[in-house]
Amino acid sequence: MTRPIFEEAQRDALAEMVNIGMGQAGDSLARLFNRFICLSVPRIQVVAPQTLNFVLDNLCGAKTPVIAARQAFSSCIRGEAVVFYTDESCADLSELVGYARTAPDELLLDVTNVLVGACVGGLASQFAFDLALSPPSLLGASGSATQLLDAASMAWSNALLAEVNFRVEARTFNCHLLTFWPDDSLDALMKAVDDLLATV
Amino acid sequence: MTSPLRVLDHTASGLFGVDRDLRVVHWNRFMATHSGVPAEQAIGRELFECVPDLPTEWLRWKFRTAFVLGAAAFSSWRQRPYVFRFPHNRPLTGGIDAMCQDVTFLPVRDEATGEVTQVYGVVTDTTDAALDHAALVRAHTALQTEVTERQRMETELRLAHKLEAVGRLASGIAHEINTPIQFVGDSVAFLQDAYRDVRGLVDAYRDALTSLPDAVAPAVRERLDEAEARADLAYLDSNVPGAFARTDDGVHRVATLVRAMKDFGAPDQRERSYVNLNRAIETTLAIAASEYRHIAHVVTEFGELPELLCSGSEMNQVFLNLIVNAAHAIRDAERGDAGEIRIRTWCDDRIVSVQVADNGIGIPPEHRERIFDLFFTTKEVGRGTGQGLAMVKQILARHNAAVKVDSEVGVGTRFELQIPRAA
Repeated sequence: MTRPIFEEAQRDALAEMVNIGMGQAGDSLARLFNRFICLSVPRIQVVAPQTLNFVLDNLCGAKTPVIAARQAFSSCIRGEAVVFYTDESCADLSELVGYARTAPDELLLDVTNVLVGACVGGLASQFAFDLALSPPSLLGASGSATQLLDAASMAWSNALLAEVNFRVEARTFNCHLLTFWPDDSLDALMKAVDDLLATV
Repeated sequence: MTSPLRVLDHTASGLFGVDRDLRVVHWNRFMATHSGVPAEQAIGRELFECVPDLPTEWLRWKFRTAFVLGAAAFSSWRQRPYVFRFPHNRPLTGGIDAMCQDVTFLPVRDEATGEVTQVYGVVTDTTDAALDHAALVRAHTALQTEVTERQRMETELRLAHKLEAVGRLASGIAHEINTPIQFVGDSVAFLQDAYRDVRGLVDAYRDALTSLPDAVAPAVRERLDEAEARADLAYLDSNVPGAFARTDDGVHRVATLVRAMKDFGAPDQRERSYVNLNRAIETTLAIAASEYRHIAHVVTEFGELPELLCSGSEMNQVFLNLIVNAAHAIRDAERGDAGEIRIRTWCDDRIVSVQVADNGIGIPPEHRERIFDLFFTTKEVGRGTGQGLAMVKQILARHNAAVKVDSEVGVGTRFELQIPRAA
């Protein structure tokens, strides 16, 4: 059975909420880092494991080495976020957070936690969900995005993907944050959108 | 204290809370026990004052992210073994300095305003998990080393078997060549004699003909002159002896090589007999010629040696390994025409000495200890099996002989064997 792609009204509403949520995230991050954060307009789409490699190659480059970390979140809607950092970004991290005496892996996980917390938190607040984050972990270093996020081992069939790119003004820091709501969560998310639309 | 709070107070995890000024608002029994600071002393004081040796800069940032973003923050023992330096529950068997911990920082919002007013920390003791993980990593590393070593040994063993088979084959072929090369040699000697005799006969005929008056049988004379011109006798005279000499030399060389190959393939390698080591070295040089011919010239200085009771084929093996190693070392040093292998023998009342020296790349000091170890090699796969010098050492040990090595990187290497006369 083919899953029906969400309707235009649902899509627009979702895009708007993601936009507002990410905007809030950008504000919080700017306050945290004391720097201006450039966020791309978030893009949302439905992906399947079979199309994931294509999406990742387009986003991060098929051969560009990246470092990836992931973090799960749960509320009414469960999902997982993956952050892809360019190699150069990692050198910039300690200056960004303002402390240096830490292992590079921890720094990367701390920043991942902050980005995911801000963005997923921003989205959750739009839906008035309580957000619970699990600890972040490293997916791997020095490989292309498709090597680090192995689509062949994915056990879901469809997922809503919201993607946003972060840059910090006048710095080399650059990363992609991909938030996935797979299968059941996708349904629950669409239901939450419907509920919100019904109240308008 | 309400009963849920009492439960939290007695839980096996640490629970503490701080306000926006990082002053302690909650401090459960776990925190009190392990830090040694009772709740009454902790509450109301700044966290960094209560527990002095905290990673201040990092921790302040962690609290700030929880306050600003309203999202949970984490610390894992995998990256940071502990935040609070607490004693652990494995004083005897731990081998670590402090309790390993995961810490979760949970923002708590004011119900009325929705602002994050406090952050609670949950400290989980992960010492056992960390120790198990460390044990797994150690076991994994040990296994990996073992597997790598085993794979290497299997490869080397396969190569060794192959070499052994090639050796047997070579010995068999040598045996097969030996008989024909003998009759080729005998026949060449016979032909050389026969040619000399026939040539003598031709000269006799010529002398006889010249002694006759010119008028006799002019037609016969003309025919003989023509036949002589056709045979190009002058050319044969100047070239045939050289051709015989070269053939003789070639046959002699093949025969030497074949004899040497047979010596090497002797079935019982350990059978001892009286051997002249100078001759054994010469045999080996003949066998190994293809290994050094284009790389180095060989200089031999043979002293007078007594015949030594030893295994000739094993001694040949020793010399072969040393000569081949010398050739490889010289090739690696890229000496051009200046490569030299110098072999010297001498003896005194007790000891027969053999020195094999090369002007190759030399052995780096860090490798010198290991060169006689089985399967130690720095040569690329297919060229070295790491067995050559190990074999040298084993064979010499069987002969109560010693081996010394002098080497200088970039200058060369000198092996000196000392074999007791009464081995």
